[in-house]
Amino acid sequence: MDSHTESTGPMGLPDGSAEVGSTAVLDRIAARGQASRRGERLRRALPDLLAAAARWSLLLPASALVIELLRWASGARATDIEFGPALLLILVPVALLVVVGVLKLMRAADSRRANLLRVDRRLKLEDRMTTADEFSRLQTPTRFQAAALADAEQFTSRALSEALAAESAPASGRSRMAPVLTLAGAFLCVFAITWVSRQETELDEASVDVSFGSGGVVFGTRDAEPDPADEAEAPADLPAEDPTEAPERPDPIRDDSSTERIPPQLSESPPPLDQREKEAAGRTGSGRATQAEASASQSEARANSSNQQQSPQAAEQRETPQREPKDPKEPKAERPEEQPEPSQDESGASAGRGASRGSTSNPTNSPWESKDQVEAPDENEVENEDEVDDEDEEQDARGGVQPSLRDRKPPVNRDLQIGFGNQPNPDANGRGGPSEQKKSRGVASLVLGVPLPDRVRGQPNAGRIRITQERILPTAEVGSNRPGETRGSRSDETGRTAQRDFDPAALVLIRNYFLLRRRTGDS
Amino acid sequence: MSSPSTNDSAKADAQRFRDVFGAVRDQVARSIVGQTEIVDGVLTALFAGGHVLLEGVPGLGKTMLVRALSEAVDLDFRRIQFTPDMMPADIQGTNVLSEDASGGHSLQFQTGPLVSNLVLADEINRATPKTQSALLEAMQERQISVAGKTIQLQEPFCVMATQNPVEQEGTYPLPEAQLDRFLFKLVVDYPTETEVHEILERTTGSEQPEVQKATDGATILELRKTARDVAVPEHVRNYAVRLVIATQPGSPHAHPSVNEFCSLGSSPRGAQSLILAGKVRALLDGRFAVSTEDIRSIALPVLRHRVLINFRGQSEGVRADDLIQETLRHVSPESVVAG
Repeated sequence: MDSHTESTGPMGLPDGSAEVGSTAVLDRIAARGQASRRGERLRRALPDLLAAAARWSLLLPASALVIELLRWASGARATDIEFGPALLLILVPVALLVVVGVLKLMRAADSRRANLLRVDRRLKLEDRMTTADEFSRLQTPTRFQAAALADAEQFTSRALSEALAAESAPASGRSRMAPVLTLAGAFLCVFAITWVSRQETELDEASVDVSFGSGGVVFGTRDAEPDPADEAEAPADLPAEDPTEAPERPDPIRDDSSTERIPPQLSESPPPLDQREKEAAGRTGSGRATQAEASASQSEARANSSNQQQSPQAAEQRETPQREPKDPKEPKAERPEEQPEPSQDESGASAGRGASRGSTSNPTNSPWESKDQVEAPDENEVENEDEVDDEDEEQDARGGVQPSLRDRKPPVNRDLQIGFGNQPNPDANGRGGPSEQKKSRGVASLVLGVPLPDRVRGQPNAGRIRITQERILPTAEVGSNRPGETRGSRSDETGRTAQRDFDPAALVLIRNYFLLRRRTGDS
Repeated sequence: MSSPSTNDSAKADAQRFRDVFGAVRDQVARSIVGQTEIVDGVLTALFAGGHVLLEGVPGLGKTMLVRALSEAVDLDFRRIQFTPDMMPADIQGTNVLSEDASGGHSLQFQTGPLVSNLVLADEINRATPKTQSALLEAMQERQISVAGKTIQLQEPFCVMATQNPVEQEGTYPLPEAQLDRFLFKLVVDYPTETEVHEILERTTGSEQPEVQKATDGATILELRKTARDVAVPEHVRNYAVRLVIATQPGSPHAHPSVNEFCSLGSSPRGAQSLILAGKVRALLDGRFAVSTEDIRSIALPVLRHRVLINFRGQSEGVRADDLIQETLRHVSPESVVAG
């Protein structure tokens, strides 16, 4: 754009110019630089300008769309909007903003020195034009300044004729796509507004009245304003009966032609009585779309099937109160046949049994949190495989790292207390106590205050471990700059001490002090 | 407008500068293979009246470069091998007891190796700060004060120091006050494969390259004056000043990375060095005024030892060169001109 040719005279100067010091030549070069700066500024600012205009253009359609949607949701009548005028709402602000921005950019003027420097840098003239512009104003230039002026004359033809290379400013794909996407969003908003308006208009036209027998039920748009005449006729047309009974009547005739354009939620009959009961129970999914109702009914069906699956258990639960409660305190005498052998129950030895679950009174079947395993009754009786499966699932849920849930047993009671007075300790079985700390037998048990941590097979430590993970973003420490100071020795040379802690006089004084203390025997 | 005669004299001086500079460079190139930027940097410092700090691992020819330069310019050359036990008197000189012809004794001042034209301070960071500080006065004021007397050093005076970036055990990093007195800090890199072949060709044969005298001290002084005559436009001076201020943390023109990782920026000596070295570069490029491109091209060797990285920057591996490059991107000539 800047490649206009000039007829040059001697020394590369254009015809009619005496020297580069003449401001006319430099003015023309500066004008070229100004044009280049404006063009580049415009190229750089245009994407931002378009993006800003697109953002502003999106504001009005989006607001209108939100308003229309709110009106539609509240049942009010939608505004009739045409697509063409609405489209102007986008294009006019965009065009205005772009035109104003371009005019503002084009009117911005730069300094003469900046324009000359632009030419120098674009043509790689090593600031010759800028320097010449400064030195040409001097009254008595030095010899090197004069030489610089003469040197610049040789480059004026290039500065006037050679095209200024544009600086490549690669715009990112995101910045290029942003205005396009924003404008597309604005168009979509306008289209949505007009579509909503068109739907409302069609519904108005499709409003029909359908009567059923003697009692007429008016079908129409939900948003249609009530006609005062209809309101006046309504008591005459409609008998004073509960409108909820209307759907229970047989559906005599349905005008398909009139219901084709009626939305489903408007054409459906009032819900039957049992459905109203479900609505009262909150199980019908009322308020959802019809598809959602279908899915709700499916889920309800699944719930019924699951209830059927659980029915034997429920029946068993109903039978449970008829059984004798499993009271751990009393059943020993009443149910001696169910009482396991004491030697096996209280030993707690699991060797040879493993997961056989043969002993129902194994204290290791008691809950893990239980404190007293000895008195634990045989309430963890394994009666069916379902519980076993549950336990296995629980074990799997723990990650599968535990060797065996059956082995993760609390310790047996090893309380070594003698008892109170002449009464023996009923809990004493010589195998430990109810406390969580295991007590040793033999000599170790005579040592007071030597509790041993309870280490159970399958548990790698004395107790539970809670690992809390806190996710905290690292933050930089803010510190002030340290003022510069003279740096000392970075490290000492081998076998040489750069700085002693004490000077020789202090060392002698300290040595004498300790010698004196040694002589006096004062340690 | 000035007369053509003044223009011609300036052009003649500039041409002479380029001729002498080229001749010295050619002579040094007979001994040093490659490293053209390093050789140009050393010569630029010599003709601009500054000192040079050469940094590089052993075996890259730093000492040989300075020795070859001393032979090419025919100047009095002294080499000081700095060691931890070296004292200031070892380099400045001291009074020694001497016996005269009559049998009497008197104290006579024995000058040290610092009193010379071209001083090679080899492995300068191995000397203690006390000895390093003995160079301060000589490098700035071109004089030394010792034993109650002040000795003016003969011009041209140029200190070319070398230091090893590795083997930091037992070394004493140069204080900022001394670093600031070096015009350039040149980082000597490994030669290329072709250059290594050439080095082997030259150094393992029977003929050793000989460096011929290309100029002398008086010519160098004249060319220094020529370099100082080079014009500096206002926008170039503004750019140099803005660049130096932008390296100072907390200044309004500093890049955020400078504020974050830099604890000490360049002093006004940095701006002086930018202009002086820029003048030499303009002359070598056949111009009579310094341009902003001259300033940008020499910003790294001029400013890299004047920018002190703080602890956070060191811990994150930030180098002074990175901050200077960021500053060059942040401060453009057009932004300075536009205000």
